[in-house]
Order: sequence, then C-alpha cells, then structure tokens
Amino acid sequence: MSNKITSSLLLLMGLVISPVMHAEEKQELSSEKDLALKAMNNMSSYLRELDQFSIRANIYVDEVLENGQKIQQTKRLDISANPPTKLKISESDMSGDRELYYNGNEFTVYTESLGFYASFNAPKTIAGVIAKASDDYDIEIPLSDLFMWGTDNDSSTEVDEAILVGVDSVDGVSCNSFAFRQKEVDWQICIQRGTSPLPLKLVITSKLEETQPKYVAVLKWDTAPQLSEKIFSFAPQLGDQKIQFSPSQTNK
Amino acid sequence: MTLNINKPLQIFVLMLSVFLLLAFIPQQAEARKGDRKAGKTQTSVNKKSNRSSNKNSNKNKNSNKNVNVNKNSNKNVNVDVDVDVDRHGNRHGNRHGRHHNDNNFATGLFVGLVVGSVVASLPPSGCTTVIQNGITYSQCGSHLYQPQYSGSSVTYIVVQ
Repeated sequence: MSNKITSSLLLLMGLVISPVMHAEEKQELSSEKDLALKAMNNMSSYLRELDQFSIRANIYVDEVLENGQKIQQTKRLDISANPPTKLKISESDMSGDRELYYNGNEFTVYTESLGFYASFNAPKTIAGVIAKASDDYDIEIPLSDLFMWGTDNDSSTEVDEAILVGVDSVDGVSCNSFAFRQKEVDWQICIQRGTSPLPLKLVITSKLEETQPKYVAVLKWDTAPQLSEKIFSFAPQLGDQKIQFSPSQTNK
Repeated sequence: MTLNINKPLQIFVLMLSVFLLLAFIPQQAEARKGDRKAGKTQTSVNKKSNRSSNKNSNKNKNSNKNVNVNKNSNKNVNVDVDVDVDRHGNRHGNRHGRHHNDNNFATGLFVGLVVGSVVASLPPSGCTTVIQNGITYSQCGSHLYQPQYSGSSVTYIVVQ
C-alpha cells in the first residue's frame, strides 16, 4: 500500500519536475547561443576597429575525389590589410602561387612565376571587391570572412544553433571555442581570450556535400604591422604581360 | 656462360621496371586529379556575393558540365608520360613550363589539341610569348595559345 503511494508520488513529482527541467535546459541553450553570438559580435567589432593588420595563415582544405575520397590540400597565406581600401594577399599551394593587390582603385591578380597579370576597376571597399571578384570573375578572396563579419554581409542572423565548446589553445594562445550551425555549413571558431578578441582558428564543414568536406584556417596575427603604402599597388616587372579574365562560368 | 649473359639482362630488366614504375607515378597522380569532383568545399560562412541566393543552384548545374571536361583530359594525359615528368623538372627553370591545375579545366592536353578548348598548362619547353594586336599569346611549336585568368589561375585557350 505504502509502496503504491510512494511510486505514484514519485511519478507525480516526475511529471511536475520534467517540464520545469526542460524549460531550464532550453533557457540555458538559448543563453549559450546568445553568449556565442555576443562573442562573435565582440570579435567582429574588434576586427572592424583594427587600423591595419597582417596575418600569416595555414589553410587545410578538403578536395573531394569522384569516389568520395577526401584529399587535404595545404595553402599558405600572407595577408596585409589596411581596411577598407587596401589589401594585399600572397597565396601558395601545390598548384602554384598568386598575388592579389587592391589599392582602393584597382584589383590585380598576378602570377609571378608565369609573368602574367590581370586587373579590374575595383569598388570602393574590400567588401565590394570580394563581391565583385566572386560574382564577375570567379575569384575567391581568401579568408573573406575576416572582412565580412560586422558588416551588412555578416550571416550571424542565419545561425540556427550555437554552443560554447570550451577553452582551447592555438599555437600556445588561449582561446574560447564556439560552434555554430547554419543551413549549409557547420562552423567552429576559436577567439583569443583577453583584450584582443581575434579569430585564431576557423573550421567550416560543408553540409550540402555528401562527404562533408572541411576547411580549416589557422591564423597568426600582427595587429600593429609597419605596412608601406606601396605594397598594395601592383607594379609589373620587366617582361610581365597583362592578360584578360575569362568571363565568370558560374553566372552564365 | 649462360649465367653471365643473363645476369646483366636481369639487372637491365630490373632497372627498366623501376624506371617505368617511377615514370608512371606522376601520370597516375595527374589522372587522379582529373577524377576530382567539381563539388566545392565552402570556404566562408558569410555572404560574399551581392547577387541573390539563386546563384547557388546555377553553380551546381555548371559544375556537372565541368566533370565531363575532366574526363576528356584523362584520356589525353595518359597518352604522354614524359610530359608530366619533364614538366616537374622544368618547374623552376622555365616560366611557361610552370604547372597549373584548375579543377574546372583540362590538364596537360598536349596531344590532339582542339582549337577553342582550354588547357591548364603549356608544353614544358619551347614556348615563347608573342604579342599580336596588343593581345598576349604563347607560341609553342605550331600551336598558339591565349593565356587568360580563370578565377585566380592562369589557363590557356587553344587558338591555333
């Protein structure tokens, strides 16, 4: 008899408590998302306030073979930026090297090993150049997110879920790791702890691809570089030839 | 007596097979590259484009086309092993011998060139830059190519 009472009491308690716990859990999750988005906002405004910066980055990107096998490619990047009108990027990988120049008026891609370059009249900002390069010329500006966070192109509003992963460290620098879910990508970022909230590592998983390939960027920052104005303008060497861009393949 | 004749022959055959094995490695690597899917790993989380999101569906359509291009290139790459071997040797010496590979285009198409087709690299040697009517061409033997940027990689249209 008493057993019956106890068990029904327990059941009743369970029924009463479980919705309460669910509500608490939900609140905790949403506040974790808020926390993560807040950290992103904090990082974004810090990035937008930087006067100029240099980054040396290693990129590890999966290339998917037709049989589904993923091959990881390594790219090395050197970025010098004086936002919003000046950017210089050197990129090298297995297939060669290339340099991108933007001085506020003109954008140039240069392949020194071949002696070829091509230019287009550039929009007024780095963000504008990123869009034009992508839309009209199929050129991907590496690590374009760095120039998009905290602007109109920031896709933070498209984040469905976000969690705080924990405290990690990248090249010995302590950082807070967050993970986000969007419709097409899952991504993870490690933001430096302390007074300089810089992104030290970015991992993007492409969910629309069957094999879910990954893109990983590990960044080393210099937020007080001595950058000469000259480095942002392309000056051809003797024998370099100007050639044309082929029209964008993806928009025709 | 027979042993003396066979021994150098054996060594020769061994060396030959090692050589062939090594010679085929770059070719196989190149052929595998041709198998690459046009599917893309996303490299950013924010919107890059100013255009509408319809763009993505167009992209997919086009990438299927590219797969066909790659298939053709495999056939041709297999024809000439030496091209690949030489090309690696010339990498630093010859500006035009520089190997570029772009997933969207044929690689190493040196035999049976089709005018109007696009190749990712030139023959490893014997190419000179010529300028006609202000347009830059690369002349390699009897073939004329027009270099262009496809994205941030240089490719070559076969003009002649």
